[in-house]
Amino acid sequence: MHKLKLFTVFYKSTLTLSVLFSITIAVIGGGLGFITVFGIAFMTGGWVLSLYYKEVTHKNEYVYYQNMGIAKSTLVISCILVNIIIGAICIIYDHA
Amino acid sequence: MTMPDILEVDSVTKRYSERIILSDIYLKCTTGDIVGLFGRNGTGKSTLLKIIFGIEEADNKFVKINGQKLSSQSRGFREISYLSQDTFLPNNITVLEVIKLTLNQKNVDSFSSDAILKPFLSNKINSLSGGELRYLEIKLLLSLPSKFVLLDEPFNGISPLLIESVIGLIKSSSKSKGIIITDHDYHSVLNVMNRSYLLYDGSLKEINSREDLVNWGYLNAYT
Repeated sequence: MHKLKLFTVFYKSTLTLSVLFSITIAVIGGGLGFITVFGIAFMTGGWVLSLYYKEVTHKNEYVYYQNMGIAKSTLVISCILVNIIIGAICIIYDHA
Repeated sequence: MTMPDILEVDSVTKRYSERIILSDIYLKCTTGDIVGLFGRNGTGKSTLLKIIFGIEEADNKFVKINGQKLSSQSRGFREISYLSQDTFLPNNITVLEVIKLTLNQKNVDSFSSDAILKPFLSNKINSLSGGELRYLEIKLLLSLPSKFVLLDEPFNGISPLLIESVIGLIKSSSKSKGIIITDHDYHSVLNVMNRSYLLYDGSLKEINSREDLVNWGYLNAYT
């Protein structure tokens, strides 16, 4: 439960950029439908951009989570998985 | 009386390209120890701490706690805490939130009643001054259940009064923890440590007095 709280704080710190990127892509290239394009962008470029931004500007924050017993690889993989799941839900919802 | 826990770092070798930074380093720290680690810029002090913590690869290393090799990174994270040179707390939450996120509920109230931190509890981490943030980071790390703490430049950028408070925190925590400190503020390190080494030319030299630091060329004789 405690590790879930830690992951939530980490994930929230990546979310703004992911969402902004995905909305922008959905607005620009929404031919497949806004929600579908949002979902595709969120599960691909969204996490790439937000994790890259974290790496460039706040790389040292990983030390906090390491001190709390969570490896950087665990945070990164979890973040990617959550984005893929949310993106997939968007796509499925849009085609349901 | 309980036996002290022992952190042993053995055979640490690290090279960048052809330059050997660390050469067959051996370092031992037991709970109750405060070990000072001196060295000029670029001699590998921070690299050594990162290797011990497990976030920097070494060409060769053995890190053992109570004779058992740390088999996984996550076990190392549980047993050892690490203060990096640069600030590391998530800056999108408040001081109180980070305290609650880091500590057990039963420790939150006593931690939050700290006179230095109390005025800032509702402030976001990114609004703290460098000194306040450093104090918070050090106090949080020393409050974790880990047996060993590696402090990389804990006195950097903090005022003399806060340095006194940090020294007090380190001394009181050393009753139950082993602490390794590296900092260029050698006065403060000498004030707090009970053993010290100088990292010189890739090797650790035992330091027994200020004169040893002068003899190894770390301090000027008239400093």
